[in-house]
Amino acid sequence: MKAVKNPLIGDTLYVDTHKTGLKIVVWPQPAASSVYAVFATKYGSVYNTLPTADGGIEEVPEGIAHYLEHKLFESEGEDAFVRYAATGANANAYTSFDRTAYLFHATENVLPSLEILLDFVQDPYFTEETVQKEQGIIGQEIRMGEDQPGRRVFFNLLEAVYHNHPVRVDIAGTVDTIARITPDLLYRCYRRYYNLHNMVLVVAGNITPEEVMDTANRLLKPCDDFVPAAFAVDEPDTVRQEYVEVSMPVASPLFYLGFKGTAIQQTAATLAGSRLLLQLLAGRTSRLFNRLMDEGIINDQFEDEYFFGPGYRMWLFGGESSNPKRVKEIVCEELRRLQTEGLDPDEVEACRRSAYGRLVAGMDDPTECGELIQTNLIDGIEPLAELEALAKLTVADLQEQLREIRVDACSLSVVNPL
Amino acid sequence: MQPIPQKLNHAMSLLRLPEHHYRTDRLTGVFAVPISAKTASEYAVLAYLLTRSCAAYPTIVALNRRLNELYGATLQTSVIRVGGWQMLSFTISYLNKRYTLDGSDLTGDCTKLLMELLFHPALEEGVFPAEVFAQEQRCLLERLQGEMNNKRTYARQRCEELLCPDHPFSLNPYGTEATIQALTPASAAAARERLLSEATIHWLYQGEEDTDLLVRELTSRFATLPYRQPAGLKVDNTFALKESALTERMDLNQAKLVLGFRIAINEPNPDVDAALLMNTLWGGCVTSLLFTHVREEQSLCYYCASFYDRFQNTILVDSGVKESDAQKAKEEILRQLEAIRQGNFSDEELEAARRSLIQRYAAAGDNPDALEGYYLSQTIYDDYITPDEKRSRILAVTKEDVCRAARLTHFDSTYLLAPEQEVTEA
Repeated sequence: MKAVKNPLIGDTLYVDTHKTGLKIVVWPQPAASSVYAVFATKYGSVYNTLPTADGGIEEVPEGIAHYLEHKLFESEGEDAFVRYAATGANANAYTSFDRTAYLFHATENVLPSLEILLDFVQDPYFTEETVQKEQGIIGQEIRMGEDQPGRRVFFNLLEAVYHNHPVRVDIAGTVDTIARITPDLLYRCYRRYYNLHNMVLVVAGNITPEEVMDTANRLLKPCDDFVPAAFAVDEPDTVRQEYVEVSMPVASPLFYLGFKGTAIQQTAATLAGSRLLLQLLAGRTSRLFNRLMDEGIINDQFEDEYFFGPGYRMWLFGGESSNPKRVKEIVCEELRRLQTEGLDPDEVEACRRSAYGRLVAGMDDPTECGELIQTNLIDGIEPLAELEALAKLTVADLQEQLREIRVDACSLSVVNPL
Repeated sequence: MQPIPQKLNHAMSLLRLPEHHYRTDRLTGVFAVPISAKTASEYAVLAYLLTRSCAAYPTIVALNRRLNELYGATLQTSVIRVGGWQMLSFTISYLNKRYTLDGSDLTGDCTKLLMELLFHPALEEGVFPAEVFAQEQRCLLERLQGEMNNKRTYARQRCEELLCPDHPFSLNPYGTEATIQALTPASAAAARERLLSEATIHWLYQGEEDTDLLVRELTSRFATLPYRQPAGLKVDNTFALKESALTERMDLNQAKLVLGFRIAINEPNPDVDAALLMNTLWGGCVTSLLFTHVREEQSLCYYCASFYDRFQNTILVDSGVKESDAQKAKEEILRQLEAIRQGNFSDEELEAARRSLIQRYAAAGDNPDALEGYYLSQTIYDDYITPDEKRSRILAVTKEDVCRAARLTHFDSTYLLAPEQEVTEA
């Protein structure tokens, strides 16, 4: 494995592309008492098609990536959770728009747990009976999600912003769509997207690169050198709908405001820049945050996020507000003002220092470290490159990124009390 | 390694947590007072007022500019109830000097900032400025009201009220809408005086620096206050079993079933470890009896889990189900409790639960928040054991101990938050 020392934090990461095509990163932390491992594939809910035998494209049922995640824990022998129970590892998995990740956190029996992880993710086993059984469980997971106002307000925003992009569809699908999932479809999705060339393994904590590579060499199975074609969708620059609202049992309105950006391949500089920009624009020292607080139309739940993935990119603002439309007006005003007047260089330096501190503070345990690297790799960014990019950003770079936020391409989603 | 407790005076102590390898250091002040319906909101709003600004940094902007200078040091405020205590905690967390770009040590500046916030608030004529107060009062009210947005948490709170009616164990640490609306700038300022006089105070420090300076800072700040007399806690832990049941309806797609149980084991009883393991076996891990039977075998739900509150003798079991399946889920939950009482579970199931529980404690040492949380609850009895010692105690729990803990668990309340109309599946 290649050792890469980060000059800012002094830690060394070990990086390798295994002969099977799997990208592996190990972040040894000898003082830690635990290990976090995550085995992830670039396959989430937005990858909603399969090629057909005649060269065409077939759309798969919504929610199938998430369904596959649930079913992969089962095998012809023991369920992976039962196997983990013997090692004591705390195991889990999740599916998002652009990735599916299988993970564990362990203090004992780390290598046997790593073996389980590498084994079950490479060993799909789906039958009519087991696929059918999951419908009740995932059906209730979907129902639970429908009752979560924070989730509703977010997915309604995505539906309002995007015309065609599958990011507008709920990751879990619906009770109707998951009823159409079959073992054959699951196998076909698995074969296309769970190729090791399309996956990453990250292990952080009290473990050595040799231990990880030895386990990987024994467990990883050769596979064809194949990566699914880059994601492509015909998506206009405009938003589909400027305003959407629903009513639910909530105490005060929840909102999400999203500015649609042109999708780009992220780099460490665009990532660091966008996050720093959001801090300058909406952080606690910003004019925007304090204006909204002084008008009494947000509270300390107000948040921002840079949201992106294959074919989509947005700058988000959300929280609770008695007057979401007024929040939108003020956010747009502040964006225009900063785009015209420019950023204050002193404020940029102050926020840069703070952003550096918070990035490093976010590497405080093996779980955070492992997730950070996994996120970097799936996003196509060199591990930890954001730290150096943050130091190099100029005010002019930030100003250019700020101009990319199109004030006229935004949607507001609101969940009102009944 | 052992944490090092140090008594600073008759009503205040400092707990230095074991040396660590984190990238951040932190200092937390925990102020504990007996919870009461009358004062809960006063203390809650006070906690947020104190960490919003101070005389030296009188606005949100000024305070946050200072935090930016300190490499994005973060301030966290929490207001929780632990058993009969209302606990206000104030944390400042900051980069360890190994990671600051110029090698500067932030401990002194961050400690000073936290002291400034707690001891020199931005008052005008002895009270919080009206506009500042109104903003924090509104935020607190919205925080309380916002709790209903998470229906799972909301249903558990409602069941707790059913289980412990008219008792401190069912009080919300934010108080009620009425008590928040009745707050005034003067009542918040008075609460500050009372807090400094009556709270039992524990400081928790995680870092590599010598604590001598910190001790001097704390003792000198408190030396300027009048003699402190911490309020003691008298909570009636006895209970009479009842069969309470309540169904409420909302515009929902899924019913939330919560069953409330009483368990005759609470801190600092050593049987707590047996109760913790029993709870993990019943519904506290992915190989638990509830996960296996209610979710995996019967496919009734996505989650079915049990939560043991070792400070107030209660266990809640909750599940998101179709309303028509609620009775079936309830019967299965009770059947699995009975199975534990009778010892009808395998050694493998028990050992899997034990490993899961041990893993949770063992991993706490790798995360500063988790480690602080682990020790914070122990400040109540000012008696500290390490995660390693906890592990040994859990390893010593026998199957019979677990069965006995289940036999000391009694069903009491059923709460169902149900859709206004049953949702029909496709």
